[in-house]
Amino acid sequence: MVGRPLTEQELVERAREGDGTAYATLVRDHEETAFRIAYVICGNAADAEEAAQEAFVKAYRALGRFRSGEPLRPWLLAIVANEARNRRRSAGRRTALVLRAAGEGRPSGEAAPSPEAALLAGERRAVLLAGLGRLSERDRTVIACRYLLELSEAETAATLGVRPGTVKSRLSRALDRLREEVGEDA
Amino acid sequence: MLERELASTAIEWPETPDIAAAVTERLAAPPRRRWFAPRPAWQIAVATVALVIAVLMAVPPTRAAVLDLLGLRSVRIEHREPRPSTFGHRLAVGDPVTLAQARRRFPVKVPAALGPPTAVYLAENPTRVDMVYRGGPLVTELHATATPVIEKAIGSASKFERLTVGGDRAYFISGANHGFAYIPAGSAEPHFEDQRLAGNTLLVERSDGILLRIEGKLDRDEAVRLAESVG
Repeated sequence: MVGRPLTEQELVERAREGDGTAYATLVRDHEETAFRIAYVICGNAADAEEAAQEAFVKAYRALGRFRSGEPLRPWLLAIVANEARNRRRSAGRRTALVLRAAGEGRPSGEAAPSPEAALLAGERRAVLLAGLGRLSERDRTVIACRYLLELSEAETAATLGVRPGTVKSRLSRALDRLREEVGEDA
Repeated sequence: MLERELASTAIEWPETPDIAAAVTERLAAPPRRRWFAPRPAWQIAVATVALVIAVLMAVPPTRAAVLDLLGLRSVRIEHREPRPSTFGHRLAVGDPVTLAQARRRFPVKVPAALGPPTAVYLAENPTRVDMVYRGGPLVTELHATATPVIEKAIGSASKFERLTVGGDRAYFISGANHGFAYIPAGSAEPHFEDQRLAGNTLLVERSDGILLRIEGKLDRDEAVRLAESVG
């Protein structure tokens, strides 16, 4: 046992028995994705932080209802998304989501682009993200889950509380609307 | 194409706050009780049913219907004047007897200053007689000693005085509520009892072997006077 990190299931069991340290470990493992989903839904960092925090507190109290052996992340993210949506609704604000691209695109197998190509690519990303920010919460969240946070289709479905088939159709419609936003025809 | 572009875009996310620390702190704090705190559905259901029944029961015609519904038709609710309880009933005393009956079991000494008691109770194991005076003290007699166990039955908030009454060893206990402890004659086992009346207690270990106990709203001198009048 010495030196082996506890598995997620073991941590969940301990958290259920009231082990706060075990639960803190679980929160740390998932807080980044949780916060980012909440940020996409709420549109600002302050609300996202409150929503994620509240969601993790609620999740702790609901651990008894979590089915052992199932992956924890989608279950947690569903609670986070729900909390974020509630917060967004009660805040009554409908600010557009502001997303910025980090300096460089992700490293790919391709050769480094020329400075001109990099500039064009950077502008293109800025246009895309601005377009994404103007989409409805429903559309941008499904796109963010799948492409920005790289959740699987099943995880996205669980997070949004819909069936996997619904994710496909919702995603395809959201991408269509993003194309319209950035001036491309579907 | 669009999908590939999105997937290859690194986002400059706002910095993730230390949610784990905040959550740990909140979970460690005692839960705030709010009257509108969410309650389990079953609690709400039980409370609602209880309220509905209570409202229906308050009205005689619906009360009968509710009793029918609950299969409690045979239950009759009557309103009556409460009957006065037997005097002395609340006290942990024995069976009500006459003074003459009590004297067949115990050499009862009556405090002359009080006269005949309102009621007499006789208990066994050990044999003891309680004399009750309406509006007055409770006088108890039994063959026992209070020394040394009585001190264990007295809380530190009570005042404990050692006296002599008619040449016999006596204790006067006043102030806070206190218990009563004694060792019955011919026994080694101490008996402990709660105080029975709110008031002060005088204990006299009489030379005839009787432990006299006078409990009531009396000061020390009044209690001693009563004890000295016991024949």
